[in-house]
Amino acid sequence: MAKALIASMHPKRWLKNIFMFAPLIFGIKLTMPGLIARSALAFLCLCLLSSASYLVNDLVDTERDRHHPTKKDRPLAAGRLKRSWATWAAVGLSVVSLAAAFLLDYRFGLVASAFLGVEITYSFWLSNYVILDVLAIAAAFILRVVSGSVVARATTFSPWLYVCASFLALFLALCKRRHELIVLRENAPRHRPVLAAYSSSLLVEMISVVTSSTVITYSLYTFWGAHVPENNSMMLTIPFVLYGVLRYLLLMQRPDLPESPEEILIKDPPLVINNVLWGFAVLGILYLS
Amino acid sequence: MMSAMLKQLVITMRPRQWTKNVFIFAPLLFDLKLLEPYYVARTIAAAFLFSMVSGSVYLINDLTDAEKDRQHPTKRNRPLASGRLSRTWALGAAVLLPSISLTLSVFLDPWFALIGLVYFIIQLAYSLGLKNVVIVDVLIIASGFVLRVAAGSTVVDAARFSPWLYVCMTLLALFLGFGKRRNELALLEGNALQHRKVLQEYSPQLLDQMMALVTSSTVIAYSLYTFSAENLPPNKSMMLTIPFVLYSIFRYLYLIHQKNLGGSPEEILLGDAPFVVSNLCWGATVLLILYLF
Repeated sequence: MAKALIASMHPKRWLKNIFMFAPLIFGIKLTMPGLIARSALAFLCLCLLSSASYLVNDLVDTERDRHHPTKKDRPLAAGRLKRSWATWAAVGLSVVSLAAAFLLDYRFGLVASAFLGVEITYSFWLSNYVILDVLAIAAAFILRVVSGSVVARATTFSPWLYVCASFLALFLALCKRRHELIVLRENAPRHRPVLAAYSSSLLVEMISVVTSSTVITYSLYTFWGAHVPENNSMMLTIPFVLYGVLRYLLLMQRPDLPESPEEILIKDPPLVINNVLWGFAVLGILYLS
Repeated sequence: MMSAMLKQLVITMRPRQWTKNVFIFAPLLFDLKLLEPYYVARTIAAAFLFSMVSGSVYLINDLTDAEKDRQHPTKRNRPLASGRLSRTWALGAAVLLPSISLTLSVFLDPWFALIGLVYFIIQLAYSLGLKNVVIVDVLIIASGFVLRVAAGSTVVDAARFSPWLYVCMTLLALFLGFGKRRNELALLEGNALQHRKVLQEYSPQLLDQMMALVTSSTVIAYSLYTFSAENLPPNKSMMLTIPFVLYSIFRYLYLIHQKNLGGSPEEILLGDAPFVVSNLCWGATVLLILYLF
């Protein structure tokens, strides 16, 4: 039962919460142990909080998940986890992590509450409305970045990075919808009713809007953002972002992707190498110049 | 007789299309002059004069197309094609209306009159032939919106109207124009050719690509406006309006792709509830940020 509970907390998805380290890294604060500790604690809070929201989501979607080729094996859908256990765990996790968030910094507590609010509204309601569903996912990403900037006491975090992060989040969400349409085909709406409102051609067009916007806002950040070196060397990191976006688009064409297509970010070797190189380039340029 | 003719005259001038003239109010709003009666009155006068000028373009269009319209299943009911409006009346109005409104425009502001004249000439060129030239047709539709915004900025002595907003409006207008062509192509298919000669030059893929280009650029230009325009609050709160713009654009794309709408933008502008709500929320947020912060 405990194992099933942990599986329903979807620890793999905690990776999304690393978005909250962006203000720490891009605000040149990685050299301050106090702020790193605060961010690490906040990260932990967000992970538990997001797990609470995943439990709620699996509780709401149990019936639908039974129609999905792989999600039907999830503990709640397969009946390996009792609903009462999952409910109590969700409530317990929310209370504990929100309390910890308020203790850490009351403003972080407020942002974390908003985060949980968005996630739960998504599960119950927004996930059924075309466009609003992906905007809600992006909103959750922005709130992760805002949490990071609150706990890292960022004062000059570039607005470009907020916009860039939200376009990136929209990109991932739209790619996921597109992938579901490809994999589930005519069964798609049974599993996720909102998919009936989307079509491949619409998603392709929305994806092209957000990819162009991601690349341009990132480029603008590299010349105009706060803390970037005077010699514009941050521009050297643009090719990695471009490659990452294009490679991701390419991989989305494949039908044999994992259930959560964003897992390829850590599974596809070229993409992983690219992301690591990008990370090193950013750290080197921000901290050594 | 007289009032009946006037009614037919007004119908020919397409009052529904006058809603496009709300774009004249953009500079009044974004230059923070909504609370100054003098500028509000000038803008209303400008919108009225512009409606007369744009209306007379339709008169000229219908005068030249009357013969062709008689062959068209729905257009043959137009006042001129059906003979309910006499040609002399229409001709007289087509000469008098633009002359009078452009002359009055000079008193409002000489630059405004010049923009009105440029608009009139471009629209005339569109009616008389450029509407059959691929891409140019949509560019001209877009120019109509940009000229409206420019016209609006001359009458309010706009000092700080952000160039990003011009770029944004142009791209938005191109988006509406391409969306309209895509809708016509989707609805008419086999018959598209006779309906609008220029449609045979377009294909759905080409239009999708052009729309992807202009929608991305619109979103980016608007984002740039929210950070870098001069008269915005320094705390960057204008960024909060980006999600509404994004939602409205995505919603419009959705209506074009999934519901085959987009043929008449003014119907979506007033008819699709989620779109209307998003635009109202956007408007309210913009007003709040511009005027209260």
